[in-house]
Amino acid sequence: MIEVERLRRTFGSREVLRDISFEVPRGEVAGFLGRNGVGKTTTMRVLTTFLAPDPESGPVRVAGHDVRESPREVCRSIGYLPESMPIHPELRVEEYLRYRARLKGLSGALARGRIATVIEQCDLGSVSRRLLGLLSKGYRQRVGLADALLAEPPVLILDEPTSGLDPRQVAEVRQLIASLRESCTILLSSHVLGEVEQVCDRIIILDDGRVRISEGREGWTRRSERAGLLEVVLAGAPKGAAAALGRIPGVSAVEGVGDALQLRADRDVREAVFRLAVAEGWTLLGLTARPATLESLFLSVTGEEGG
Amino acid sequence: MSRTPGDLTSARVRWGSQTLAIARREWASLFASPMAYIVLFVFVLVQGATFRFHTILFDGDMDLVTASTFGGATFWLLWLLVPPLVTMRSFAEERRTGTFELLVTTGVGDGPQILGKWLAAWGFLALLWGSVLPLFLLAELHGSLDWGIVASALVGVLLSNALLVSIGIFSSTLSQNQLVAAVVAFSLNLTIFLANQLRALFPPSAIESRFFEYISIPYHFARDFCLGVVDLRTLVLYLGLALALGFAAGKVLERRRWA
Repeated sequence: MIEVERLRRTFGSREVLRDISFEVPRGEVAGFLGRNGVGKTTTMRVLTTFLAPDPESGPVRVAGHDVRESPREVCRSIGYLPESMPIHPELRVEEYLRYRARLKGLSGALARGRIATVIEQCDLGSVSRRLLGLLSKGYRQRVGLADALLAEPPVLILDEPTSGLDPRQVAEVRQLIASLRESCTILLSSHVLGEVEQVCDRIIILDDGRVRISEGREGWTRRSERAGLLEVVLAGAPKGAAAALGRIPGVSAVEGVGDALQLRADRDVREAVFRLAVAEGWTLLGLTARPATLESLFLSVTGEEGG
Repeated sequence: MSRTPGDLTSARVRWGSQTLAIARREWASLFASPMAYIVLFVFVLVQGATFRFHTILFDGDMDLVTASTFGGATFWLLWLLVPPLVTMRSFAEERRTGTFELLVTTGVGDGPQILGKWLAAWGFLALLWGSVLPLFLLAELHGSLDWGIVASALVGVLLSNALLVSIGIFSSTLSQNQLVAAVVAFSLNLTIFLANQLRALFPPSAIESRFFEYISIPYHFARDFCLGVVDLRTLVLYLGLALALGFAAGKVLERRRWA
């Protein structure tokens, strides 16, 4: 449903996206992760046709339409929620949705029906007559989500959809996204890794303008497990232990001081640690694998080069 | 993939519907800010005071009053200043607040965006200039009035404002700052206004002199509109330039995708 091949985007002399490729199959919810400024929003803006890819880029297709060849068709196939929901403060929620419905080619009873549905879906009933300029950030975000859902698009592109929402609203939006899985393909960016872990079938991790990981749930769960923290306790805090452990293939970082050291690795290094301890004559008091999370995978992937 | 006639009709309907939706929202947002009311109030006040002054000055000679209303210093000052104030926010504000991104990613083409904003701004200026009509209606109670001249002068005002709105909208695509957009628009308006002065630099029969005469709006008012004449060449010039500027605005908007 979303196919990106060798996407490249530069701003002046700054290369923001360097030949990134990924795919989101129909009906999947993909979490788009990365630190601030790595190109997530730029990628989303290319997918929504707001920005053109560099001429030497490969094809970028959304719902079967190429963003360069058929931008209008791409726009008609997507619902887009930008990072900080821009608004027209002088419009009321219902007026705004009516305006947006007209722009999307909905009119008459169809528009009224869809507006009523999205107001209910996004729990906006209590504020539907309120001016957008007077709404809290959370409500504005929900208006943006309602707008994205208006024309029942097959693809949703959501840039931090739960930003600014309170915990109850976050849970509701997550539930809403989960319920849309059957009818939509969703690409959502978020810094809340727990949220991504809960709702996403696939993760795409972007770092330094490149895709580091693009995998389905099974793949990234396996990787997460390997990328977990390993706690090593050595008797007497031997000198040079941290440096020696850091040289074990796969170890990306060694943290901690004194007896207890924490190793971040992209694979299982327990055996290598044991052998190193034996070879160096250290007394190994403990070797504990901490529960693996998406966070540990994210940190291990984005920590390698970015630090 | 070829387009069927049905596709084209539906595309045209969508184009028209998007244009009207944008025009209506722009119109509503004009009146949502105090700026529109301030401009309207000051405009009516200045026009009313000037009209009264002219009726006293010309001792009720309505031909002279009409010529001054559509050719005096106050007229040209309002003509130069008001359109940039009305159009400066059109694209600059949308780009500054980010609503432009939503507009573009909804699949609204440059045409409906520009035309919708143009219609709202031009409609507002038509309302402003239309506010002089009650003054003439009142004046007619006290003396004879040539309505043909009033009508042709108003046609001139509306046509020249069509061009000024295009200049303002084009300027508004150049920057996210409303003030910059207004200054650029005002400078372009002033250039057109002063084109007439450049005629003095050339002999009257020289092609340059004829060119500046052709594009000089004050000259058109003095020669045609204020004498009850609507020249087709002037109409073509104003609307042609307005269209060309609308096209240029579209090119500027298109360029930001590659920025």
